[in-house]
Amino acid sequence: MLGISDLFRQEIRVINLGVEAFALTLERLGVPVIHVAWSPPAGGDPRKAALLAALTEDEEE
Amino acid sequence: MFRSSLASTSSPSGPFPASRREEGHATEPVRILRWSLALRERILTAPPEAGRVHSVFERALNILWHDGALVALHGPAPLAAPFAAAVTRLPEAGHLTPGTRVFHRENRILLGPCVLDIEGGTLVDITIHPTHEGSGLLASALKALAMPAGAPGLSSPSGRSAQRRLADGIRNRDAQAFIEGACALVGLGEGLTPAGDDYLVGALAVLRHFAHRWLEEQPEIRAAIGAAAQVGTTIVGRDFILHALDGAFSEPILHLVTTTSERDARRAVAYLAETGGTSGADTLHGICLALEALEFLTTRNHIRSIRGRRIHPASGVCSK
Amino acid sequence: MLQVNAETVRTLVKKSAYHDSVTLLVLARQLRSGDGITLAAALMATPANKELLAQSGLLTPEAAAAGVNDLVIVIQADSATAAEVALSQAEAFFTAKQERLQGAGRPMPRTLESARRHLPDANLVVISVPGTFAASEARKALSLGLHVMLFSDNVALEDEVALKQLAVKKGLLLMGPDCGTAIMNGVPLGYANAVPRGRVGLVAASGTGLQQVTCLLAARGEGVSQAIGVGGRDMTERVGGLMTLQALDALGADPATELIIVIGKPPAPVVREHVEARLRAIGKPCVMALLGRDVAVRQEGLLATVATLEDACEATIAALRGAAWTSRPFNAPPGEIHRRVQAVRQTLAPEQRAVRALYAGGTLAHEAALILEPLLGPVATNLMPGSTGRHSVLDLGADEFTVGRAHPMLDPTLRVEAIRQAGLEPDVAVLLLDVVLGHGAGPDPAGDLVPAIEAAQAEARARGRDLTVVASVIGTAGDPQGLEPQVARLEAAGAWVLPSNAQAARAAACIAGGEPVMRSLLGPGEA
Repeated sequence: MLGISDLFRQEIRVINLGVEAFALTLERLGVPVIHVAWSPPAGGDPRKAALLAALTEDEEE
Repeated sequence: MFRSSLASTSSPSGPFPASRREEGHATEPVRILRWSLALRERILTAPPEAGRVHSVFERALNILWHDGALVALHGPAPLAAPFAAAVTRLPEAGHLTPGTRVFHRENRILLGPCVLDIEGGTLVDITIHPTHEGSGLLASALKALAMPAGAPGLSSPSGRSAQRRLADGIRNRDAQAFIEGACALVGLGEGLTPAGDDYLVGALAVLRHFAHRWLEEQPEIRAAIGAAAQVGTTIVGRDFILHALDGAFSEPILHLVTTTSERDARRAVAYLAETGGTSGADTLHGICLALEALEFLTTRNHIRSIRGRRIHPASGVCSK
Repeated sequence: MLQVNAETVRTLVKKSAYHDSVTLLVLARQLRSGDGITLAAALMATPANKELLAQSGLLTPEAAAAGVNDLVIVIQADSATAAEVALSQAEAFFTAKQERLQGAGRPMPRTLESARRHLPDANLVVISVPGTFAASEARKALSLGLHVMLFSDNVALEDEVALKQLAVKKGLLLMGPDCGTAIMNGVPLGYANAVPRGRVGLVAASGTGLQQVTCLLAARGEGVSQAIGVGGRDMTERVGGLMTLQALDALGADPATELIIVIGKPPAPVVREHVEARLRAIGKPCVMALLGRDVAVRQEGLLATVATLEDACEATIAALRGAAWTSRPFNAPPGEIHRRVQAVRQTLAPEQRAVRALYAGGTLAHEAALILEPLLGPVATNLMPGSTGRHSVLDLGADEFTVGRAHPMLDPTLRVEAIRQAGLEPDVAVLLLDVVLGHGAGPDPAGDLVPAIEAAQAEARARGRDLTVVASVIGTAGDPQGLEPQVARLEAAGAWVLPSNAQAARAAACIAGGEPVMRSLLGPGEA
């Protein structure tokens, strides 16, 4: 919860994954944003992708 | 300082760092490299909502500042406009669209995702100061060089007659003729900064350096041209002209007009000649025209004084 | 000055076009070298240049009308065709240039991790990738310590629970899944409106619900501290209100938030208990807007429960300003409502008795159905499969309508079609619509519907009927489309525009149901 309260005091800086229009709207408003030209990881296989993600998470924690 | 910066720039089109498309390029904050005192003042005193991105080009961008005038940013290079700052790296063109809000927070300027650190930066004097020297050196240096072709628009009937009037004004110390020529040049011709504006700015640079008193003593020149610039040309052209009327110019123009050596003059001409489409060339033509007109005046005065008759021109002539 | 040969001269004006000189030179050269081109000019439309054009017989009316910061391209050819070809070349030139500029040097990160290297102090990841992958991307973001806004729907319930547990553990936000609207630190995210910053915090399990409430607050001069979306399923038993509770804690601790509004459907009882307990512990006034059947409207200490989005706004204003409030059906005086409804009803044919509601916003459709049913009887709606009735409420943003098609807020085609259809149906008395403005909506949502509205009315008239259109516009003056111009557009097309969705639904009910409905809403009224 401390994290959310911190967010309230920061400047919103966005990473946008998916629909580019959202990034463009934010740009026009002067919000720092970077758009990710996202494509499915792991060759588009959702199960592999989930596995990859879980592996990464393990490293983090 | 100019010499070294000219030497370090590989070409006038700018030694901008190659844009990095690869991932993994860390974002360092962008910093101001050089700017004028006046621009620094405008930027540091800006409110939190400092302005909006006005136009974006491959090597520069313009911000419509809260005070209604432009602020330009470009990469490492001599200041290409009196209202420009050179920064370490120009924000990537794709990141900023016209209309993007620009914010001023403490010692930073925020444009979209780009952060510009405004704490440092070399202060540059971009005003052309009057000189007591004659314009002979510059005039002869330029005569020896081939000038590139200017914009077609200036060779039109209106363009030619405007140039003639401008020259008449300088030769005869006729403010009215000068104003007519200048106002006919405002907004004339090709370019986002119309060719006539470049031409006029070149001429004003020469007058500012070599015939400063005449300009000062004809306040109607400044008023009339300023008024024409407000309504008769693009916002970019307007700002170049208004700054010129205040004595502020881009570094390349400043360096050429204030040069004290033929070699420097050659280099400065080469730099200008490659600027823009015909922008630099049009500026050079304006410089040449003003110099010729001044030389004519000087020669005439000289001849007259040799004949023993001192002519007191209607208003203070250039130094001699 | 030469005359312009209208046959073989074409003009292209690019307003506020700032192209560097080299670009313009290249263009002019290209154009001049085209087949059959006799003259081509690319100039800024300054007075001096207009004079130049006039001297060559190229000062067309369009060029003359352009301003000093507009670029004018004038082409003269030896045939109309050649001129047209050159003109489209010029257009293509600018499109290509624009694309090059956009692509030039822009970092193109392909993953979340590499994006983070370009924007190292990013704090929010907005995810709108397909649902099957959205969960892993969200997990990655949370692991990196970033807050998440998850637009994507189609995320498995188990994934939602796991993600929210992770978010809670790390003290982060996970707004969603299926969260399309939020306002964080005054920044509108997704489909949100331009509302002032202020003292009201909101937690919403509904996008258009959040939009309606924030817009009504803005109209009454109250602003938003934070508007946090939690996804439609958050307050179900399985998810247990995980993100709602997290958000409430944050708003409770936020000094800028003086009152909290919770918006959604009635929660599972155990979730409701937790939420209410948390709110009592926080000690700030709170309004719960729960849209469902038979919601008991009440006030318990600092906690108010209301049944419509509009009442959420009213109760909030009252609490903030220390006044009491009672729900009222319309802003306009009862006499005015009576008069208007009577006037419309006089034009109805006897068989016209039904309300046809066509909605883009899901929650707004839900609210409309909840208001219409007690007043008019059974309502058929795709929100409640198996429902039947004379009247119908369609949520055109629902899955069955958006397969292979953009949401109606982006693509009005389906709604336009349905509106036209309504004109052909003999039993339809009134068409009920929502028009949602704000970021993310198109440039002219009202304008998108007007031709269809007019066509439907014309169809009805051709069959000897009058079709009434009732609408509400969800937006603010600060929205890109502007509230007033949008309302005006609809009114000009003959629509009756009410200040809120709830009032619009009631007005539609009055028109279809006549005196009995009006009496129940307004009391015995004038004839």
